[in-house]
Amino acid sequence: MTNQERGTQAPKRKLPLIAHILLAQVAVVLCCLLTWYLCENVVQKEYSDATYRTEVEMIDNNYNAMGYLKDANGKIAALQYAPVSDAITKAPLYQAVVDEMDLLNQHNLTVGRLIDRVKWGYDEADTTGRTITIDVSFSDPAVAEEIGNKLAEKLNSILTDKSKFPGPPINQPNRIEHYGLIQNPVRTGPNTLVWVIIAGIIAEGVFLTMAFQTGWKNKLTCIIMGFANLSRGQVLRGLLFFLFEVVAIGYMVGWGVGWLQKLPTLGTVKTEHYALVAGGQEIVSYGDDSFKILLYGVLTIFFILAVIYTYYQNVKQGRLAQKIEEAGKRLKSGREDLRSLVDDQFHKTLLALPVAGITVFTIMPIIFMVLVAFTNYSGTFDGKENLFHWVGLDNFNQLLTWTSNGSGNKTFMATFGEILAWTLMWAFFATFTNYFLGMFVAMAINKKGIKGKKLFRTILVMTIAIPQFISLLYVSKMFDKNGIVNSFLMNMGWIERALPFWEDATWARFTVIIINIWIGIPYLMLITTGILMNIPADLYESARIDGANPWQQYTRITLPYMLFVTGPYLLTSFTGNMNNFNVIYLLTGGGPTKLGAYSAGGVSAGNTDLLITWLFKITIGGDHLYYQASVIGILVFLVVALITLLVYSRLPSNKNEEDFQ
Amino acid sequence: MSNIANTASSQPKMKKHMGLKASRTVGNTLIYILLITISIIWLIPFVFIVLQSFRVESTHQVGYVVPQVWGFKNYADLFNSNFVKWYVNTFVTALFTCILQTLIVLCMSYTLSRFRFKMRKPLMKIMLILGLFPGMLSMIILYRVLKDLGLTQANAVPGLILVYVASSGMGYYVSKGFFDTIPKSLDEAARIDGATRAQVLYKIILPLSKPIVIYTLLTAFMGPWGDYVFAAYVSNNTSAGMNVAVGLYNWLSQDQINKKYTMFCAGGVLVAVPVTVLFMCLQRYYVEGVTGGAVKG
Repeated sequence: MTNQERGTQAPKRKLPLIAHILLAQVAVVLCCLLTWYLCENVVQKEYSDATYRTEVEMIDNNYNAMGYLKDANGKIAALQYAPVSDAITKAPLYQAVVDEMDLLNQHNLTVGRLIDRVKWGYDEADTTGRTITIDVSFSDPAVAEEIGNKLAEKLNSILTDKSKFPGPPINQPNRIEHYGLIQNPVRTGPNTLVWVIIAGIIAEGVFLTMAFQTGWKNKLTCIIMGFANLSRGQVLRGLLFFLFEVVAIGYMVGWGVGWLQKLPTLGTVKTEHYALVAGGQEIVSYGDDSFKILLYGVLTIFFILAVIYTYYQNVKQGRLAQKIEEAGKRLKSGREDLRSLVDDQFHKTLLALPVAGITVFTIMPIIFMVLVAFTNYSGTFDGKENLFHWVGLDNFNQLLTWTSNGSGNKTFMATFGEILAWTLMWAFFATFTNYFLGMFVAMAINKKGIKGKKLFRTILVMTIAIPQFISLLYVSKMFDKNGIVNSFLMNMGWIERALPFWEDATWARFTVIIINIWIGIPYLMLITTGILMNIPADLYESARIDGANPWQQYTRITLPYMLFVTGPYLLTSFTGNMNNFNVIYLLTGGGPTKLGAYSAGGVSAGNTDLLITWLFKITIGGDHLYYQASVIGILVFLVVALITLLVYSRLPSNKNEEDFQ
Repeated sequence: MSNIANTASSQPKMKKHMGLKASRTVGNTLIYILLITISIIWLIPFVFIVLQSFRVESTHQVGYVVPQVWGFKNYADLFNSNFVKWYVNTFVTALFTCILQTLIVLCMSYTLSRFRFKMRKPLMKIMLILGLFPGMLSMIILYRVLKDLGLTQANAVPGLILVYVASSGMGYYVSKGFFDTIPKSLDEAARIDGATRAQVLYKIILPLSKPIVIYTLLTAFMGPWGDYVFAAYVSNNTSAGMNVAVGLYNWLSQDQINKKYTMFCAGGVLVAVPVTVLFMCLQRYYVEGVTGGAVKG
């Protein structure tokens, strides 16, 4: 393909290239001007709401009207627009809103929508709580004024209604003050300058690309994707490009731009719950969802990259078609294109699904979770009821200072260090005990003259066949305080008290490693059997003739050969063991609890916890500190990547993969 | 470690006193003793769990193994519990995952083994790096995505299948290693005869790939059959969406273990038997896959 491209000369231009580029700049400027014009004059302008304020003040000093509305601490905070739990104190006020149902009808409003636009406030300096402010916000100032007035009157009548607010008589009428429009509508909507810049960048890209194309078909393809192919009879390719352009513009205008705009803040509008009367039906006004904003924001960025790549392909295919045409050759038809998908381009067909799956279900979640480390996403700030937001590097800066709820506990980093140390220790022992014992068992079974090789192998392999959650959970219960092992030992009179297999830190760590041998030996036995048989027999033969004993044969021939061949396996096995969730979680659940360890949102680390199980516990338990789990995840990645980098390049068996073919 | 040293170094000393044959017999006897001990240790938990599943007199953990009263009560109880639902869930998940995952893995590994294209090396490097991230992290977002699609809790089965299958392309190493060993000259000959690349795959390579196909099917079946973590997360305490691992794990929780311990044993037996039988029948292919995969890294 590329050879063809280079083989033919590019067609001549009538004007020099510089002229094309200059023309492109003119087009860009025109585009910017057009955008500016559209933003200023054609696109409907959006305004922020006009806010109309009214104050109601109880004049009678003997009677503190708001007293009924104070919260337990004597503060008047309850007067803010309310969560459902505050409905008892809010009920009379909200009733006022309902009573104005004709207002709702007049302005085509629902109750929830109206409540959304009325903010009950109070003067913070006024500790007697005699003043209530009612801010009504509507885009139409007249509506704001009308509703504001009516609500203030209504509130006044409620506060003087003794059936609702029994108390000392009110001698004087309350003061009602209309402040009028305290905030005039402000032009919001699309910011013209931003749009002009965006239009400029896109236009620059498109027209500059255009300037470098020759022939009207190829120039037009810069605007109408696929045109170069379509106009030359390559209907399939052309239509696909064009379809993609339609989808891309549709998505970006419909959703993409919206998500991108919210990405920097991760949402500003909170979800609110209201009840008009105490215990009444809940009215929910849905706000932003930080999680979705982050998710779809990331997706949109991915999509934009895909758009840029497809655009590039579109231009490239156009040029290719042009060159083939000028060389007088025939262009590929749609049928041939399809055929090439099972032939020359077969790898694309085969990879499409797996790569798409990996992108969506592996890469995207990883990027997302890395980003979460820079937010405060947790059970409390779940993105719906409480929006979460970006916190920059705070989570990383606080590595050293993150402390747990209790006093005298270790910092995050100290506990992380301890768990990391155990994780590495565990990975080391789990890998090498299995490796050497597995090799030893394999050698024993394979020894000449041993009968029943197949039987022994089959028995060992049972631990692979039986799901780990059964075998490990059962074995874990066997070693319980009142499990079979302890009962047996006590019945035999060998011990007096139950051994603390899972209760004591050292015992638990030791037991875990031992039981892991039970799980791991069979794999290693299988793996090493094949390799052991590959060691040339004459090596041993000549070693024996030279008088080497079996131990020497093992250390001089078997072991070096094995290490050479299984080097990469040992490395992946080590990193795999670092993340060996099943064995630890099913056997000990991470326990016994580490005393004085850092507790993350109510989750404390255990003595056998690996980083991965700790991360899991933080994710599912307590306050769900996702951001902290994410930070741990990133640190785990760094550690594993570092080990892999350091070891992999030093392995002697870095074989060339083409060797076999 | 010390075992190796002892048995290995004890042999030459004996040689001086006895003939070669005699020393081998002693050595072999020691090995037999060792292997039989190991076999017993390996079998004990499995024998125990089967024995306890037939215990009728009590349902909690006891200090003895052989039941005083034998019976099928625990098994009968299973059929009146959610276990049947869990079992069906697990089976459906494992079956679909095993078929789809095998297709994906074979596509991926065959392509990476046979084709040389520009993105090949970068793709493999990216997947290597992705593999270093703890997969546990992705669970949170995958859970939310599945929840938005309505595929969690009671509908967990399709959600689980989707997630298991979608990212399975990453596990291409073993089968790529297998395809690497099939000589390329076979492909080239067929290509010269006018076969398309797709024809090369299903007419020439696939018939030669029975071992790796079976290996992939088997491991893809066993994965979901015993998966706990993700299944627990996605079913989110909804019994109707659990698989056997999650359900049985819950039976061993503090508040249930005294009532459900023997039922756990019975359930464990029912879960383990089919997959063990399957495994034993296909053991040969599994060994080939594991051995090949480990050597090539």
